[in-house]
Amino acid sequence: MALRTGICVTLALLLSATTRSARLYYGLRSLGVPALFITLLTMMDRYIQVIVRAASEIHLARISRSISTSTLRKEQDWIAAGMGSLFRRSQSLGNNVYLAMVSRGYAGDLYLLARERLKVKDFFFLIAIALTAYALLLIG
Amino acid sequence: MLAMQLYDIQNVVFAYAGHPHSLEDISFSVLNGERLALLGANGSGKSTLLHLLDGLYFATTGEIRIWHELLTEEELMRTEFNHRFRSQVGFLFQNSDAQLFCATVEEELAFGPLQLRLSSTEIRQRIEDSLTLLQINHLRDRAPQTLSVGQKKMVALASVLILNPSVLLLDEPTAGLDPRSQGMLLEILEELSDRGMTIITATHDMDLLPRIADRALILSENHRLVANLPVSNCLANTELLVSVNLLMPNTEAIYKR
Repeated sequence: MALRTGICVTLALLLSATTRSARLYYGLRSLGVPALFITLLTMMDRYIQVIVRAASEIHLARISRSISTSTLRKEQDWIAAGMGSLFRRSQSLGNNVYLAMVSRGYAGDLYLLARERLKVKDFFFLIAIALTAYALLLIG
Repeated sequence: MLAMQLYDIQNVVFAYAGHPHSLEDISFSVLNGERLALLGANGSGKSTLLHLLDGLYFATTGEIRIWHELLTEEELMRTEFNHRFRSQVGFLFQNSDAQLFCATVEEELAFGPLQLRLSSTEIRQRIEDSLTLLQINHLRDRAPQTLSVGQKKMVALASVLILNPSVLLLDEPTAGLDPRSQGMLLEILEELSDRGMTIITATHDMDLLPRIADRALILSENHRLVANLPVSNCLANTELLVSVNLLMPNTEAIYKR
């Protein structure tokens, strides 16, 4: 069981490390995952990096103005204030993203590029994978 | 030939919920094909005014008309008006990160035309045209977060221009751009203006002014429109620029030279 889990995790990591996120989203769309879900996933992936960068800037600004080490209590206060600041920035960014969508015609229903259809070679690839897995199962 | 009136703004007051007024009694009009600059210090209400002109915010009192039709939330809920307005009026946000929310540049460009229900053939053609116009073909499959600030601005502009708007609203378009990117952007804006596009730019960069506008509206720090004049007169009126915090005191001589 542990081996199977390990292989699954390894394959998932390998897939995400070797495939661009845009291609992963196209793949999910081809498998029939709803467009709205994919859009939310895309935006989460897109903006988590912006927010992480903002958090990093807050941290750098803090240490650039720190002279001595502070107490645990002060560190907790600072972390809480940083989280609050980050939340407000995220909220403002979220509002602006929504306005940018409205400005370009979004009116409640989301339309995306047509999803790519599975081709014959994709089916062959899936069958080959299934057969390989079955063969491994028989050997094991 | 007399230019047709595009926008007519009458006695507009705007306040964010729970805040004092951000704009006080603003009235002016914009003609088709004009190059107009909205000038003012930080917090004077330039961006807010652009949001009102793009139908993203709505006036607390007063009215805004475009093509002699009222621009209100109710009107924008009509699909016909919404599609006409959104395809004709493009808005370049100051923060490109807010404007680029898709997984790739190609999807970003396709977003607007898709919402306006253009055909897929038309969308493909427009994507090619926009990428070529802004010379960003090589960025097509890139994710927005991997782009430089200048590249993000170009992609954001392409995502607006793909709708073939006749009006372009720009919020601090050159903020954060290096000189080469600034130059490229200004050249593109000049080309668009030559084609007859109406360009309204909010800025406080006075050096940029002669290249982006022929007429300037100046907002004071108490959110009122205090001047509406040709750019040449605006740059000569250094006392006015100092009074609205667009020019540092004691630097008037540089502009008067």
